[in-house]
Amino acid sequence: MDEALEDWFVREVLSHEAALTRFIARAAHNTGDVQDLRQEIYIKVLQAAEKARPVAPRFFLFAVAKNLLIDHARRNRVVPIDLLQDCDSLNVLIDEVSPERKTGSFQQLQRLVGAFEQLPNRCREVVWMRKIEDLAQKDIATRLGVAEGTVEVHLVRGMRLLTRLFYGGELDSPAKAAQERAGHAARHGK
Amino acid sequence: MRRDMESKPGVDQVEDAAAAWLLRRDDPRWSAADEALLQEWLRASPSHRVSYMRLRSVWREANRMKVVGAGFEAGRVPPRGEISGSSVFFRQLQAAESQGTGADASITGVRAGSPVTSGLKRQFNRRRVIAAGVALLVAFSGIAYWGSARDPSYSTPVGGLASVPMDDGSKILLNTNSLVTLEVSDQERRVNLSRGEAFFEVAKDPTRPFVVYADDKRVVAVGTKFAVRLDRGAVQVAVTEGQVRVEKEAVVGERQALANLAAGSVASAQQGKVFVRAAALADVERSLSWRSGHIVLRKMSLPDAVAEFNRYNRRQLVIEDPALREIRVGGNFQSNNVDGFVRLLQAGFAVRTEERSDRIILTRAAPTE
Repeated sequence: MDEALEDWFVREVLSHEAALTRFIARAAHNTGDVQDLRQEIYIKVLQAAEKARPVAPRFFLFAVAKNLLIDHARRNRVVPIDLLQDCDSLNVLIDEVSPERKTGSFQQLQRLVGAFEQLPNRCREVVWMRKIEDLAQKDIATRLGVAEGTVEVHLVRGMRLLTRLFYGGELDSPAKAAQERAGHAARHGK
Repeated sequence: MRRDMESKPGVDQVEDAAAAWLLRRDDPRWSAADEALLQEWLRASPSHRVSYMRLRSVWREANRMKVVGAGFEAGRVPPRGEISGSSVFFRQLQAAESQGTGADASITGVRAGSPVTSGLKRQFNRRRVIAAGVALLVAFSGIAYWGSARDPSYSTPVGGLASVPMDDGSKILLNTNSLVTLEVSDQERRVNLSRGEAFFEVAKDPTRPFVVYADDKRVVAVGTKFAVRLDRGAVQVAVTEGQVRVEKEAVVGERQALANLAAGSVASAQQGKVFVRAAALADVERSLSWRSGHIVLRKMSLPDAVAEFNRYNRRQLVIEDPALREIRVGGNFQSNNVDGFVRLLQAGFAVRTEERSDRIILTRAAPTE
């Protein structure tokens, strides 16, 4: 994978995740899974950037989002009115919903710690051991007296939640989280 | 209702798989064959690439949390809420932030002292030359490790940051593109810094001095915190707590005391001379902001700022127009945010940039009127 492209994608695209997520949630009006729609948008932006980097990444990202959401709305036979606005008002919208970009880099570390502090207990514990104490998965398993596979399940979940929280997302309700865990455990049964 | 395309794997599955790859990749058992499989998986679908990059961006960022962990006892996960409240790091950070521009630094030249011969003669010089070719660079981020169990070596790639815990409770934080080898015996805790920069948090042990060897300099500490950097023939030492002594050891066993440094000192040793600068502690801390993955520039000249960024990034900034050398810049940057820095230059200083593969050329922009 091209590292310069990866840096670019993280910096210019993923940094808008919170704003993008709000944009999707607002425009899609519960007609689809926000996470899936967001992934589709990311895929389109990445594939375009693999050929040539867009000059104005933020604008490009939201333009892709807008088009995809219009397509999505057409499939659902509902066209939300906010999506039909011209690009200028879209710009205004983006400006007001992207305050994350303005926060400094120290705050970013604080945001990371804030995300870490919200992790469920076991996830928080294994992420600390892996990231701060630099313990190998095997050693974490020994210390906690559990199987290595169990540690991996918690680390996978911890990494995903940390990412979601870091980019401004929220934890799911306990019921949905439990459902997700069940599905997760089934897939990682090996 | 959740998913209208059942045939494709959902984002949850893709993210689980991406997370598992990222974890396995950190494992010491990771092989070239595994890497090939990963690359194949990444090529297979843009969705894989998106999830992998997204998770990796934060998982990597989480390495910076190591500085937050400083001050907490090892082997125990601090209870929720304790981190931002009692972390040494956050306190230092706040202090540094509120200090503002900091006090004026004074420069004093220190003359080399008389040679002293150490009572502890070494039979042979055990410092070893580590061929650059053997570096098992864990691609991208992280730390590479090799060497025997007795004298382990640790290195970081360009842009890397890693902590090395030692058995005696001391901690080493390695900056970008750095290499250390540990040689711990009953008489001495020896760390050879062969490249780059490291910050040391030394556990007290009066019976075994903690000594950092850099070039032909010895930096001796007993229970203290300090950083040592090797930069084009000069050894720089910055002390944030306690005291360290800088010595020269051109011939093994023949030591020459150069300077005693108290907290707040920044010293630069080249050949037999040491320049000591007494700085405000907040300034010293600031110069060590790499520990949290940052570069802090205070009215720094553009060539110096460019040199700082170039330490952390493969994409190198090049100043082509001498007129730009006069520019002074300030601000906090994440050390890998070259583009953010370049954008600020374009916006604030009429600098034109031109990207050439791995270099970014800086020239003066033509006047617009």
